[in-house]
Amino acid sequence: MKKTSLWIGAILVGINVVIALLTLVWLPYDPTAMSGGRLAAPSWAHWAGTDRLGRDYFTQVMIGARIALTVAVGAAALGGLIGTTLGVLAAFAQRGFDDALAATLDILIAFPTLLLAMLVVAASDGASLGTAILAIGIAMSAIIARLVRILTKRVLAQDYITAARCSGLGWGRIVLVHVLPNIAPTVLVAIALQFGLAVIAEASLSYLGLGAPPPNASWGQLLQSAQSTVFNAPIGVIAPGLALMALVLGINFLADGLRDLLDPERGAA
Amino acid sequence: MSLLEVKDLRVHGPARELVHGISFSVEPGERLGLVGESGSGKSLTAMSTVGLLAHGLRAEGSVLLDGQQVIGKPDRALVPLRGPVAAVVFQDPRSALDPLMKLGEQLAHPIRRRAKREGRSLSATALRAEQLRWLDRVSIADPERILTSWPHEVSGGQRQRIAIAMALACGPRLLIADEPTTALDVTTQAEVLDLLDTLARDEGLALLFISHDLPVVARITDRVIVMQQGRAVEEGPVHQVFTRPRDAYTQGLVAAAQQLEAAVRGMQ
Ligand SMILES: Nc1ncnc2c1ncn2[C@@H]1O[C@H](COP(=O)(O)OP(=O)(O)OP(=O)(O)O)[C@@H](O)[C@H]1O
Ligand SMILES: [Mg+2]
Repeated sequence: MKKTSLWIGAILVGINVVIALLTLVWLPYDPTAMSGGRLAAPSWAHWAGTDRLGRDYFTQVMIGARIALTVAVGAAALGGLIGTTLGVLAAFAQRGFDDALAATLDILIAFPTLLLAMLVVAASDGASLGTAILAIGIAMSAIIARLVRILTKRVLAQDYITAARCSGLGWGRIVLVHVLPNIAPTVLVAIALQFGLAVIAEASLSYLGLGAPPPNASWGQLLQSAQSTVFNAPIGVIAPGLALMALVLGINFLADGLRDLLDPERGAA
Repeated sequence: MSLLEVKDLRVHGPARELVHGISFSVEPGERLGLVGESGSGKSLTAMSTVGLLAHGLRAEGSVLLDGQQVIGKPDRALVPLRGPVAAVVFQDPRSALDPLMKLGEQLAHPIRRRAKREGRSLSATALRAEQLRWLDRVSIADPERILTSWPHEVSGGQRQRIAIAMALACGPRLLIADEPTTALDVTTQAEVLDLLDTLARDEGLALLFISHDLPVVARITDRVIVMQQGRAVEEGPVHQVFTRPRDAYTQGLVAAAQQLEAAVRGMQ
């Protein structure tokens, strides 16, 4: 059972990654060129039909995979880095700083990502991949920081830490040698789970026009523009919708499988 | 010069004072026992002497560790001071070792640190020889296998021995042992105590030995301080304190221990 979910997840995510990488070097059609009739139904030439400007839809869904993964990877890297740093600092900090940070994180977690994204877009010059990564990454960092803070405190309370400190190990080395390896499994699984949420967040942002601008359209934007023709050409909603679902489901399966594999309690006998 | 000299040590908690002015000293090679009921402040006193109190606790007074003041120093200044002087072993074998690091690697850390401190370079073979020597010194059978094992693959007694080896591999002159045998079964407890006794003698180590078990303390220390509610109520040579206790609280402790022993004898 454990292995199955890991495999299903790996395959679903793997397909998306391969497609995303493929779009960098090859596309079935030029995504901006008219290559068939308007709103054509799926056929051998156009697997997902064409949009209302006659552009190949499958090509656009493929590009969407790249956008989704780029934003999710970027946000996860940003959120993981900021979150881990803040969390470890908070665990070491004096009461005052720790309390202030904990309160800030709670506010940030309660703050809607959407609102945060609008603020970020307003503060920069227009929506782009970067603003989406920044907004989702900040939201994610708060969740990771809160987790890291608790995990770090738990590790620091262990006797072997005090023993190592007594025999002359400084805080910096303690973090590198003992804290990070011990919190890594749990944090990685949390980031993997957040990764799925980041994909959904990215789709929502671009659905609302707060994501990457066309022609590098993300799934959210495809959904948005296909919504008015949903009854004439349902494939326009089905294709990006399925792709989104497959990726998010795959990520969650993978995270679940990873959690079992990297069981952080494996050492506790 | 005393290895450790504590004068009027007070420890403040977030709400109240937890240790109310305690003074004692430990000479090089001397063994001092700290006994007293749970919560009497034994651990706080011991950890204050190396500046390792938990967050939210504050020590006051004077602690000279190898002649250097510990109280009020930032942690940065204490790291180089602690390493060559003191080491500590705790009660719980489950949290004595890093669960995600192989035993050989954990033992390598203090050995490398000591080599670095003494300006020696350490080849891979020399390191391995040191690791095996330390495991041998703490009477671990099959040291080769232990080096590549995870902490959860060895018994509590073995973990405690490895923790002792790691503490001593740093080359300290004072070993703080905070109830190091309380969590072990009676046979293992006796073995680990013998081991500590022998190692301390061989290395010329001073011991600060904490326990609420009077017979254990009597067996391993020369001098003892009896603590109650954050105060030292009695201090003196072990045999004197245990045979002619002056303080009412100590008399109670000794009587209880004697009753237990009598009961055990009665059963035999
Ligand atoms: N981090 C802390 N914050 C607040 N109070 C503490 C803290 N650590 C210990 N105390 C309190 O200080 C007192 C003395 O604690 P200490 O750990 O020194 O007792 P002890 O004599 O070692 O007991 P035991 O035999 O149970 O280990 C206790 O009343 C305890 O509740
Ligand atoms: Mg204690």
